[in-house]
Amino acid sequence: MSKITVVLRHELITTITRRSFLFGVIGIPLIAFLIFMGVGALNASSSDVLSGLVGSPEKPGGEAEGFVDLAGLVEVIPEDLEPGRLVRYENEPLALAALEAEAISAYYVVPEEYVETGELIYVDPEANPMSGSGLDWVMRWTLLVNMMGGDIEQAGRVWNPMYLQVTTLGSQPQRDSDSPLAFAVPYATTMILYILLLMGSSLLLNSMVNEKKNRVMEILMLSISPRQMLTGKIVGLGIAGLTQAVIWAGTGFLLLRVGGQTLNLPPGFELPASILAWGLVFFLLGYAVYASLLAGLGALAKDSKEASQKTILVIWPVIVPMFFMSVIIENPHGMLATVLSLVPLTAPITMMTRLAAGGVPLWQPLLAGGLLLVTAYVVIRAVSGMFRAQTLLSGQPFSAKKFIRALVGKA
Amino acid sequence: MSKLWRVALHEYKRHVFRRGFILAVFSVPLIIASIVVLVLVMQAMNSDYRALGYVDNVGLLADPQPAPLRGASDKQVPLISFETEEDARESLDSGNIQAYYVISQDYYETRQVQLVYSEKPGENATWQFWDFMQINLAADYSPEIAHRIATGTELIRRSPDGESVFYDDPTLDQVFPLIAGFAFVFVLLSASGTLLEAVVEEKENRTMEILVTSVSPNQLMSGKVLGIVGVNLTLMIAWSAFAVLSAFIAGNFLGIAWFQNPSLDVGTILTMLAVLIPEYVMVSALATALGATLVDVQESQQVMGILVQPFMIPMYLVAVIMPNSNSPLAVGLTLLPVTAPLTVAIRASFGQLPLWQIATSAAIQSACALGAIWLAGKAFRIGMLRYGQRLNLRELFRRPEPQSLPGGSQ
Repeated sequence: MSKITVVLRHELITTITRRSFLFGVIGIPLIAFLIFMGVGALNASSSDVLSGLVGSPEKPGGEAEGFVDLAGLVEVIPEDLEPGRLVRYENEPLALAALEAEAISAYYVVPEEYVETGELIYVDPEANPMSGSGLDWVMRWTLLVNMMGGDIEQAGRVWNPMYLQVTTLGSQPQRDSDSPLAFAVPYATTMILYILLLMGSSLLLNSMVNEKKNRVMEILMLSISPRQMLTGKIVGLGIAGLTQAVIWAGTGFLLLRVGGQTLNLPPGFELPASILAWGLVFFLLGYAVYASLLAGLGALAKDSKEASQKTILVIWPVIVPMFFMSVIIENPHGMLATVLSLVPLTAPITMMTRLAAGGVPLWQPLLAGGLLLVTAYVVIRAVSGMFRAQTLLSGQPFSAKKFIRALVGKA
Repeated sequence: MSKLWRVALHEYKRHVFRRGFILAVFSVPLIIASIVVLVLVMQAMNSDYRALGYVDNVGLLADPQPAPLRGASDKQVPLISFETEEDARESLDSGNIQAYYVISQDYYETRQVQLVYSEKPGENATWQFWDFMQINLAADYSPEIAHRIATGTELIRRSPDGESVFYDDPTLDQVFPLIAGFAFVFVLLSASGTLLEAVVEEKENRTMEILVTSVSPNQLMSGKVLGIVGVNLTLMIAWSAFAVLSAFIAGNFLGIAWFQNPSLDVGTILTMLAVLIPEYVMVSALATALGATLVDVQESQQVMGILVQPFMIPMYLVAVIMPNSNSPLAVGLTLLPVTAPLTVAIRASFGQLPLWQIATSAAIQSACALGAIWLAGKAFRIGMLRYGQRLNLRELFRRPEPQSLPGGSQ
């Protein structure tokens, strides 16, 4: 027992005093914090310097634009547009001259066959399809009003035919999918859990590989049993990972509090405490499973290069839910989401996404947690069986087949 | 000279003739294909072709015109008119329709429309109803005008000189620089990772001494760089072949218009090459220099992880650069060495890239590449035989003293 604590203490101390770990724990939340504060400061005071740096240079000619109507459609400029917003030119050379003289910032050409093809040409010195300036509604609106014989009222109805009132009859809680938070909260929760899970597990992988690489393993094996070493390492690094998780969660909590104003969060918005509790449960169980599996990989891999190349073979079930994340968030009670959140290997990530999206019946996280617990038990047993001097000391290359054979105790 | 080629060939064979490389060749097209499939699946999941009901309380849809088709393959949702809300509700409850709209009695004053469903209707259905409303609001006009009103306008953006034209949906040759740029950066980063490891590896397994007895450091290094350039070229050629093949299949056999008659602009390709080639040389040289200063493979991987970040800056800022492709930020990132490839790729795809900026950027990249090569040679000579000890920057830039150069004073 005391040997386990020695390993545990050693792992914990070497890990948390490492500079890269400290950066991950303190530096990353600090950077996030600064970015949030920066965004807040930008929102609060309109910073001209930054928008001048990031935004497009101001257009000469301001908002005024010209148009050349080859289709003969435009008879009136809608009254609701500011005067001087749209200037008519008889032909394109005149419009181009005005553009070059900076009297207008851009001009439109309504081709003769506009009604048949619907094509409208927008001549813009910047010609950027991704441009957010979006002034083209002015010409679209003018064309619509003129096609409807100047009837602004009817044109307004065609422009936006309905103000929708939505009534839902379903029994399932309806998500307000228009709210940006409906996506952001589950997304952020999932990402945090994903990163913590992988970082925690890879700590174990690295530590295993290091011991093998600097040939300390042989010496260690003389005085400690493989199982004691594994237990010490898992618990020690687990505590390190958990410390990181707690600090991150604390920062996240603080950001949500401070960010109440910065991010324009709706008043009264809070992450339910149950999410944090479930987060802890699924982090610990997920960590137990994946850290053990990666420790097994570390035990079998020849060196650190091979170990990091083969990590994907072990952690792919964590990545699968990330692929389907938008589907899961959009439809958190669908077939795919429910199945992925109950299958043990994909459960930690998927269940947290669903819980953060809300409305999951209690029996599902309980069942998923139970199944995960059983899996964790089986995996830890199998991996510690793998920790025999024979496997640890051999320098053979790693293969998935060998990994599975070792896991079931046949290697 | 033959020794150089021997090293290059060894390095090339070592990387190409193994399973990992074949995996790399196939993985990227496979990932792209699976993303395409995922998007299609998600699109299909957002579509629902069951019927849609409506209750018209103002007589707007008494003699309904069907909604215009959006595309040749557009499949329409049946629209069913109900006399009363009760009828519609009954039909919804029995699952015959996915949702229904109720046009309010004061529609002409308020434009209020109620949408009732138990599960969110498909986006295709709600869009179709929107078009359906528009075409019927314009029913008093001639059919051509009504059709135009309901299908809307397609904006074609053109620069005043007529050189660049952008449609609402970007064409293949427009997004080409973007795709090529991202592929390039991917190759660049994996190349520098490989190079870094290749340099450190001999140091780590202590074969360096033996090697330098029969090959000069310059030959060894140039050979390695050449070999890895060959590996990357192989990768690029394989991916291009994949891209051309899939575009050919998609255009000619599946009939996807986007891939038919692709025409790539020579100017764009030259622009990309002018910036990307010096960038490639620079990064390879820097990776070599870095490899020579590091101690082992694991450390080199960690350093690579940090080194990658500056390359990704334009990707993080893409939402800012794309809409404002002429902002001072975008111009600055175009000129800076590490951020140039992706920024040029983004700006060449969406917007204008003035010639002076390309030329300046290419010149800056070339100058940096030359500097990096000089640095790499020096670092390699000094750091080559240093085991377990890092080389610091001060040593690298110091005037060489014969006694401090264990490997270089031969």
